[in-house]
Amino acid sequence: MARSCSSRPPPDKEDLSNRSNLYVGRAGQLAVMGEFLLRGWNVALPEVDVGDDVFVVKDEGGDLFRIQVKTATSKPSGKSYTAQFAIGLSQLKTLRTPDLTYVFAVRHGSNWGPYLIIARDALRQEHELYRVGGASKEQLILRLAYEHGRVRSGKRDLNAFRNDWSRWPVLRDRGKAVKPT
Amino acid sequence: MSKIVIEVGKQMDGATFRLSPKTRVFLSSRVKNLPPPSSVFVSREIPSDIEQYYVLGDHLAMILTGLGENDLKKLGGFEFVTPVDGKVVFESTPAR
Repeated sequence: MARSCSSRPPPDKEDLSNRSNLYVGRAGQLAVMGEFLLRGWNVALPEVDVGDDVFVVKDEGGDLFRIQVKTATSKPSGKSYTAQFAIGLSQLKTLRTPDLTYVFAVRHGSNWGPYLIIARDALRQEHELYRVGGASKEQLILRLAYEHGRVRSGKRDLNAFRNDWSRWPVLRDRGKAVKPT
Repeated sequence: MSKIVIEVGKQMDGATFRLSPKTRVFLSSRVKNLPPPSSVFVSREIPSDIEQYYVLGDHLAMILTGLGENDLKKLGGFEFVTPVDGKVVFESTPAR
């Protein structure tokens, strides 16, 4: 039997944009998962997405980390580029054990820019004490500028969080063949 | 700064306690040897209301600040707050 698609209207620009965002978001999540795997840490995806994007687990001992990946596409700005992310304020303020870590991934051209890796509490501190990001409709809007190998938000230098994988050191016997970024 | 604010996050198997960012800044300017940023998780086998942790309040405040009971009172005491809604769930008794 021949299938007819005539009842489905062609996707409009907004549909295509939303779909593109989903693809980029998923790509960012998978790229971050790949980084953890290369460092020798196991990863798992929750079957239902209710906040946490990725669970990172150390096989020996079962240490567990909760990761929220935020992905954006870069926008050129002179010789540098910027990217904008939205974070739920409620999630940012919610204290749990184990606590959440945000990984901000930016797609710049055909590569991933540096990851900004920041614990929930540290990001909240940056927002409340140093006015990083702006609150709008229950969300923290974070605009990051990437220039000369550094990352900042407004005038605040966030380079200490740039590719800060220090909580997940490369584990011996795994991820040996490839040097992670 | 009126009181030391300790933030609380309740979950099924217990609760997490941590100094609020502003309290931490306040204390770091006044307290020598302030413990590094940390949180305390109190595990409960049976789900409990957050008020049930009241009996541990003094101990939690001392662990998180490194201060003794008298120093805490001198600084105006402490209160436990849920950060999402800013609700005070319990507070230290005022100094007499």
